[in-house]
Amino acid sequence: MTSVTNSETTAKEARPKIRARLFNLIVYSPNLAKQECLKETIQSICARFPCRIIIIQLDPQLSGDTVEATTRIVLAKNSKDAQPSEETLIKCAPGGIHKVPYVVMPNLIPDIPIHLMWGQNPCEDKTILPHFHAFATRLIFDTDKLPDWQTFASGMVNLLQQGKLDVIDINWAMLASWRDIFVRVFSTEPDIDELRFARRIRISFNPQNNSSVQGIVQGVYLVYWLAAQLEWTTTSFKCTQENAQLFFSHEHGELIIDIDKVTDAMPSDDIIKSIEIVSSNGSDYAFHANPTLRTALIKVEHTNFCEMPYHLPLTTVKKSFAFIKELLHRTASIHYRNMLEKVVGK
Amino acid sequence: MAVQTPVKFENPLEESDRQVKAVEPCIMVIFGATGDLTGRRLLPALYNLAHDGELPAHFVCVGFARRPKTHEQFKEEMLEDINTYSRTKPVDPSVWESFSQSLFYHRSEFDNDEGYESLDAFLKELDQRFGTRGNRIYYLSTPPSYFPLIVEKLHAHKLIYPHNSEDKKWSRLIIEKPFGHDLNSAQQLQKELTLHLDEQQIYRIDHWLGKETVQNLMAFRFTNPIFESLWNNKNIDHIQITVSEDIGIGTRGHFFEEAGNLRDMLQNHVLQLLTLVAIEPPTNFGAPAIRSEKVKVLESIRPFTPEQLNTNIVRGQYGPGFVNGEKALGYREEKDVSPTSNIETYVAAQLYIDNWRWGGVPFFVRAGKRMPKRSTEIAITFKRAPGFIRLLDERRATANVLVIRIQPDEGISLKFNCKVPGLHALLQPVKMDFQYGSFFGSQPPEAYERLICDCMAGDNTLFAGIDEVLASWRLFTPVLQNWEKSPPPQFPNYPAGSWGPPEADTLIGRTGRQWRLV
Repeated sequence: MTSVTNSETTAKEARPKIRARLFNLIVYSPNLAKQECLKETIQSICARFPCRIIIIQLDPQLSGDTVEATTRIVLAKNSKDAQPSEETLIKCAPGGIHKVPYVVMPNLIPDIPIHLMWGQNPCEDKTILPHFHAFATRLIFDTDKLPDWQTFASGMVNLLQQGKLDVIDINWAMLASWRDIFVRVFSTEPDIDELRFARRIRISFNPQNNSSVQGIVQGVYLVYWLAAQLEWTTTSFKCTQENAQLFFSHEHGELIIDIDKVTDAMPSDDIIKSIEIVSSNGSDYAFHANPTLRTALIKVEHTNFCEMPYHLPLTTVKKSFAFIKELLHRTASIHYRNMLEKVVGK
Repeated sequence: MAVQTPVKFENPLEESDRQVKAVEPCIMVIFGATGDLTGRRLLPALYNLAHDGELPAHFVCVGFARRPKTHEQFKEEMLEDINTYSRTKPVDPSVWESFSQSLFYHRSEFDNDEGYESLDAFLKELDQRFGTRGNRIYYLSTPPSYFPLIVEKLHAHKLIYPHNSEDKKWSRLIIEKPFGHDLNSAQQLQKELTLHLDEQQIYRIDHWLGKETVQNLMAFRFTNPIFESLWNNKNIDHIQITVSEDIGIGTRGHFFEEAGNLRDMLQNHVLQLLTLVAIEPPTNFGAPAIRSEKVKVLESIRPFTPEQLNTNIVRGQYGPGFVNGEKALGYREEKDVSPTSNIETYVAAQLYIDNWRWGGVPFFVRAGKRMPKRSTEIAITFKRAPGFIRLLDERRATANVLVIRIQPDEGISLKFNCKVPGLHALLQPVKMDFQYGSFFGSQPPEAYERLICDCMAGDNTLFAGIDEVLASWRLFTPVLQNWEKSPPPQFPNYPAGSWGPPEADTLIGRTGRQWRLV
């Protein structure tokens, strides 16, 4: 690996070459389909930031405790500013996973951040993740299945409390623009009260590769974020593989929230498609994502007048620079922890 | 009766640690909208903010100028300019469609009361249509002589409001440098503006403060203790700040004949760089704290003695020559320039900051037009190693130099000495180099984007305060008066395409140093 990473991108020359590398990125998902999704994110990262990427892949076709590694120089497609990155693919048999940390560790570049990108609930991985915890800077993860919410949220709260590394939940990062939209639309005290005492909320999402997991997770995150910040009390929470329904109570009564998939979904980088809110005094708020414009159309109708519709940016979609910045440079705010604690029931 | 301070509403949904600026709805009125600046900088900046989703939810831009134009004509012209000057090209049709719906034109003379009345009515109508809540930014992209008139008219027609008005709507004014042309005129201008506006409403734009590399100065200095501990007169021999332009004055002959390079570059851009290099760590990174430290630096710069007015600051004017392989006219042959003009296109100065940190360290600053290349950098030359080490040929040891490249090829490099591999003790200077382009590929926002966004958010950290402006004029007004009294002996005194006049070499040479090759 060293001779490849130290050589030129072309076969003709083999002199050592200084290459800009901003961080190490170790990528793992036990689920191959999830790994393909993560590759899209990796491409977006490489397009902006040269780095050393190490991808760990379970290969059931390998036997025993075999581990194979190949390294190449990659250049992000469709990006004229991209610098080359180095990508190492480590394939291992299921029986060889325990050897992987010992293959990875000598090949990490010192003195620059080490980011972990995990395609599963980090609380569930007891095999290789603990090996990297000690020297990683940041853990970026995306769950590959609907969690047991209570267990997941408690585990994550514990992980955050340990405070050893920055933990970035990809689904939370993707919601950053939506949270900003809420802040901008509900920007005054009366506006916040309209939301706080809402009667009904409906969140629609686009399924991704026939899976509703991300849509439901993001919907639930959004709802529990609002619940935590606006002090709603959870009454009940029903979640299936296809949708979710939540009941809350507040000073002015009950609030019903539905999270449903869009039936006629087109392929889109947006997960959340629309959010509709009916407030206690009858005002209707509707936010509709427009993937072409990378904005959300905001429509507000009060009982006696309508506001002019307008657009707000929706920039933290998959592959966008804003999303990459959320993953690599932001720290998860206290709101993330508040949201998880609300799920736990604190 | 006790005066109650209004309690600021804290939005429970706002994540303070995300540091997302709350940019409020507003209308920006650009006075002088048919001028160069609007098409080259302002509209491309606004378009890119729209493209990146950084404009507020409700935003409108109105161009205000004398020439007759319809809204559509103005939009077409702006589209053409954005296609030429925007950092993101080509223009995204979907972004333009949305953005152009909030772009308008208002025709009037600057002194026409009816024009302001109709502007007021028009803006109120736009508030209703677009929800801009009465908030206003007035960008004066006009010659400075119009500033007092426009502000007076805005005030008379209630287009500007008192600062912190009870109905929560705000009005702000952005004005371009130079702020005045000497100390008296700057004070006079300030007096005229503050008749109608609070200082907090005045945003003096020096677009260099919005440059990514200039902002990086603070991050570099105050997050890297390894450098901050060396950043003083015990370790630094001298500092050179160079602003070299390969272009001439272009179509700015009228303006330049009134201004000269000292007013155009040295009094503002160069001095801003100097203050950021020299300031003490502020107590926090809010505007008042940073400005306070900058003013302390400016007030510590040693004034020129009468003798030093002729020796410690020199001027030059470019004659015909060759730049980038092409023939270049001399300054006096440029359009709208007098053939006997004594205006300087080059200035170099030796400055001292009399405080504990910088006592005895010379700051050599130079700014010139029609130099061999375009380059702006700050070079910190450290003192050489004391004594000698027998095993090494220390005569060849060059001084360590930390160079901060502001533009182009943005980055930072450090020169240090290395032993040449082999049997002999030979030394070779080498460079450790960080380049923005290599590490961060994608293009950062342009300076005007950042600054306009900051003004919308009410953040004046990156704008020049009046104390800074007056302090810099106090330093340079005696120089301008001296130059007025005594015309230069021989202009032009450097050919276009060269590094400046011999007087500049003498200025630094007599201290045993020389100008860097940038």
